[in-house]
Amino acid sequence: MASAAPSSRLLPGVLLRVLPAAAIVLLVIGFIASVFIEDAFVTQLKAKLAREADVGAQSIATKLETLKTSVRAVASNDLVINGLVDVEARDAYLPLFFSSLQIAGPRGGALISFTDYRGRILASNWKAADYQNAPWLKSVMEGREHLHIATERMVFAVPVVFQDAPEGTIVVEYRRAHVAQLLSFSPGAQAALTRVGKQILFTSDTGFSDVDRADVPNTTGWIKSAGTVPGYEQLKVVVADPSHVALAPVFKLERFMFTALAVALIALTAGIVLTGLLATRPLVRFSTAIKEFGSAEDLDRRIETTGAREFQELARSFNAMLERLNLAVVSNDSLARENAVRRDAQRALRESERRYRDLIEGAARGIYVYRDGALLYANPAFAGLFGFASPREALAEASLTQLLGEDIRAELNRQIERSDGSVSNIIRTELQLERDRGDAIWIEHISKVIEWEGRPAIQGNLTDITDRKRVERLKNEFVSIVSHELRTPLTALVGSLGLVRSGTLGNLPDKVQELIEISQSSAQRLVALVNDILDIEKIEAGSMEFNFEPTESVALVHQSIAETEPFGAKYGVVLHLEEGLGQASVRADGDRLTQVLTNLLSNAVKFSPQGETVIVRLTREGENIRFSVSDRGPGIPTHMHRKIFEKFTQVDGSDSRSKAGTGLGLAICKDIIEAHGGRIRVESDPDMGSTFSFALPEVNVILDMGDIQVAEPAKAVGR
Amino acid sequence: MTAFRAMATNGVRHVGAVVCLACLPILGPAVADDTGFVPATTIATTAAKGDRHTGDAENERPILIGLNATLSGSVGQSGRAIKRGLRLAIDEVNAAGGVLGRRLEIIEDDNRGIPARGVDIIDDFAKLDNLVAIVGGIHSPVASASLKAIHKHGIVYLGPWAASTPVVDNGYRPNYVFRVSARDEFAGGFLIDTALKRGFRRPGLLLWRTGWGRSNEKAMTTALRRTKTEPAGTQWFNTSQRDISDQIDKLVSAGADVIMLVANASEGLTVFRNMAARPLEKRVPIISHWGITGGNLFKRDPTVFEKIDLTFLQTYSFFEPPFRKKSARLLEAYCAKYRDCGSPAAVFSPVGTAHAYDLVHLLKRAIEKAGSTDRAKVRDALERLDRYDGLVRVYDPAFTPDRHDALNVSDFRLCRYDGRGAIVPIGSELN
Repeated sequence: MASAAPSSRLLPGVLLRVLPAAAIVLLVIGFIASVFIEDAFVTQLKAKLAREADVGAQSIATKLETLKTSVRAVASNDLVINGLVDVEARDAYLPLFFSSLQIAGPRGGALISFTDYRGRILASNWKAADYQNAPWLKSVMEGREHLHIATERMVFAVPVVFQDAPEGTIVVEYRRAHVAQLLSFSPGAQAALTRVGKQILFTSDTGFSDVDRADVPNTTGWIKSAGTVPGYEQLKVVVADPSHVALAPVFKLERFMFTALAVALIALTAGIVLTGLLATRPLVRFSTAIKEFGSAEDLDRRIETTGAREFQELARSFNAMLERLNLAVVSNDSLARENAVRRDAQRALRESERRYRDLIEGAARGIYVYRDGALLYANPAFAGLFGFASPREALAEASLTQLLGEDIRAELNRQIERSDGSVSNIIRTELQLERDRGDAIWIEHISKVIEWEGRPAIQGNLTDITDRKRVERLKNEFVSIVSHELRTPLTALVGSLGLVRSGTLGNLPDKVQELIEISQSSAQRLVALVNDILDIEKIEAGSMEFNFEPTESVALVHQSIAETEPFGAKYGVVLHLEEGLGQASVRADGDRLTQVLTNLLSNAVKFSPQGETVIVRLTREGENIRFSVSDRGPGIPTHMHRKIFEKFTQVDGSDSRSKAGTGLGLAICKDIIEAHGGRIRVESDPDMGSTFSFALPEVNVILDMGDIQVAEPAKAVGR
Repeated sequence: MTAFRAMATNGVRHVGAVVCLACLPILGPAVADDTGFVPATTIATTAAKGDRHTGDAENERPILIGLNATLSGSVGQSGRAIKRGLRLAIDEVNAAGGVLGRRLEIIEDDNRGIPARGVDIIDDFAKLDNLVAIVGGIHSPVASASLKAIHKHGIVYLGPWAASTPVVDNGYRPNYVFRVSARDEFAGGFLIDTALKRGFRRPGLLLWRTGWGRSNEKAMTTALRRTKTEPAGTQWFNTSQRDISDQIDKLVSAGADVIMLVANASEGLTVFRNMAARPLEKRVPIISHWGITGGNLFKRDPTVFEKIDLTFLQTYSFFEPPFRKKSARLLEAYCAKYRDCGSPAAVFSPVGTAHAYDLVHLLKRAIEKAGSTDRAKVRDALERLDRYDGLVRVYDPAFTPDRHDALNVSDFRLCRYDGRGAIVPIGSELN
């Protein structure tokens, strides 16, 4: 098998396996079919023969019954009975009567006699001998009829009844030929036979005469059926057809069938050969391809998917297998590399972890991780902050509530809830904690939601800002004191200078007047500076209060322009609002917003060349209203854009004097706008002027029961 | 023994009393009332021993009278009436010391009206050497058929009923047949004369197709010729014929105003029924020979007799007997012996009983005259009897060598069935 070519081993194999089995099956089918056909045909034939036998038997029975009836009629004939008594004259009529008598059955065959009670002949139509010793006489004289049927002779005797008792007999005899005639019948079948026991009384075919005789084996070649003559159980009729004639159609059918089976076998062989050839060709291709794979070790080759669908399928499957095999080989190669990389990565990771751990562990900030009321991690700085020897001790002995207070704990929990599993914004808080030692420290607490061991947790950073706080407090106290201490005398100074300058106290020499004016201007600048410092202070201390309410923006701008116009007029600069927005309210503290706008406007005026116009625009940007103030000034270099919003900053320090200002205005503006949830920005190019703008969410003013309700702004604003 | 064989062949029904003597009580009323038979075995033994000339032994053996009659079937009543007559007479004879010092006994066999049987019985009886005479029955055909055997065996044959003329006028010399009964020759004439006397002008003859019918045809034809009467015709019917209306039709159509009937009981009843079935205006009277009284027709179909005018021949009646004293004495004995008797009306087939009774007494006298039971001697003695005052008539003498018929037309009378079926004589003006 192994060495033979594929094409030469599949076909004979199939042929060897299939053909004998198929031939056997066909033969068995043929045999069974022929048996069934023959059986069915024979059954049908036998049924037909049985019917004919029945008909024959019935016809014989009818003949016998007719015969009996006519003999009985003779026996009950009153002339005959009269003959029993009329001894002297009966010879005159009985012989005539009997010679003229016609009994049913073969003409002239009936030998009829009339006997007295002892079987002595009284009259007869033949030369009958007395029946005195007839074995049946006693029985007939007891009133029974007698019928004896044999090949040679048939006897039928009937009692003649006189005065209710048998007194004579009518005896009818038939001889051989007439017996046969009487018991004959003509069926549709070829042979008919009537017999009593083994005596054949009638046969229509001498070739069939031996049938059913015990001493002769049953004649083969006949299909026969027997019947019993009704009422004459000893009388059997047999009808038969020679089987070679009767079964001729069956033989013909069987010949046809076997021919058909032989043709089927040949067709099957041809089919197998053809199928084998068709099947082996692609198989050979396939096999060759596989062999090539085996030797070439080329996993990128693919088998052609052509031919019958099954072979295409096979090829596809094989190709798919190759594909997977290929992948397996490829990944096998890369695995080692990958492992090395992974090892490196792991090493790096471990290194990184160590580094980060060192960083965290060594950090000055206290770091902890908290979730569900429990501290999960704390670094040494955290422990140290609270006076624990080690993080472990801190974790074991303290709860967050104890350490940071109930408010923080609650807020952290809220923060986790709000985070919805995602990392949330950082929340920064400053706390003053009292330590066990009795001293109080300030702590900056920054919390954010992180993922810790697969679930959200809070990472908290604690920085001891006690020192900074102290400095700040000192500074604030200083500024506050300075401001208040400065402003009060300054206010008095400004007022006094105003009075002097206005001439209420008497006209001053021009020179003095000039000095007074300078003094007053400086004093006013100083007041403004103090005010600004106080504002900044308030804002940074979080103590500035805002009164947010829907504020009509156009009106607000008009008010701001109105307040700044005198200042503009001083510089020869016009303020102009570009109309067009219509009604638009923003949620704002009107006073503070006016403060911002006037600051921006006065800045614009200050930096605008004389004769120029400062333009204020109100535009709608989505849900926001943008306030912008544009000047035609020298513009601001890009690198300064951020700086100008820091405290005590001006674009050009050298120029600061000419453009008098505290350097705090934009910082205050930025803080106020941010407190409103907005952001202030500048767009400027040198020589192109500057535009300062901020946007605030528009609010829909709803009139309801006389009150004004304002929808909350979407964004929360921190302190 | 041949009798036994014959009976065996014949079947159980026809064995008759001989075989069944031992079982008489079981057989029922029809036979049980007829007692006093000699058991057949006894007869056979006696016959076997037979030495008719040895003194004592001979004296101890009864003298047998063989009854060869129809004892069963439709006319079986005739045979039983004969038997009762024989019995009553034998009882008287035996009571008076018997005959020649020997008892008389009856041996019987039923011929059923079949001649062949009658002949076979004659053959059997003839073998019994102490059997002195055979008494016949109602059927002339049986009697006629028996003649050859009677004369072959030379055995006395006494006729109490069968009336056919040729039975007696049989041509045998010596003639062994003696009769105390009607003779058709006379009866035919008597019946024709009676019909004419009653005013009928065209008798139609309706006859049984047997010797008896032909015997009467002859007698009636002779009488008609003598009286110059033209008959309407003669019709014949067969034994056991079931419908005789066709024959009646033909006679009536031919103008018969009276039917002269010669029939036995069963065919007679058929004629009566056929006649009764005719419309009233198409019925004609029937004057019948006495064969019809051989069976009890009245009992079989009483209604039919209300519809027809039937008169028939009788020779004797206990209602109007010729000798009242003798009749009364016999009637007394009859009723003493047979339980079914209460009155003269109950005596069935009276002629059979009366004739048989007289025959036994005549036979007794003949045996005594012969001084022997030798059949031939007895026969001879019968022809030479002295006057005997019998029941039926005064026999002076009963028979002569030329006359073996004891009765003549003077003994005839016409009878009818009364409302209860009794046979009663009709008005004497018709006699």
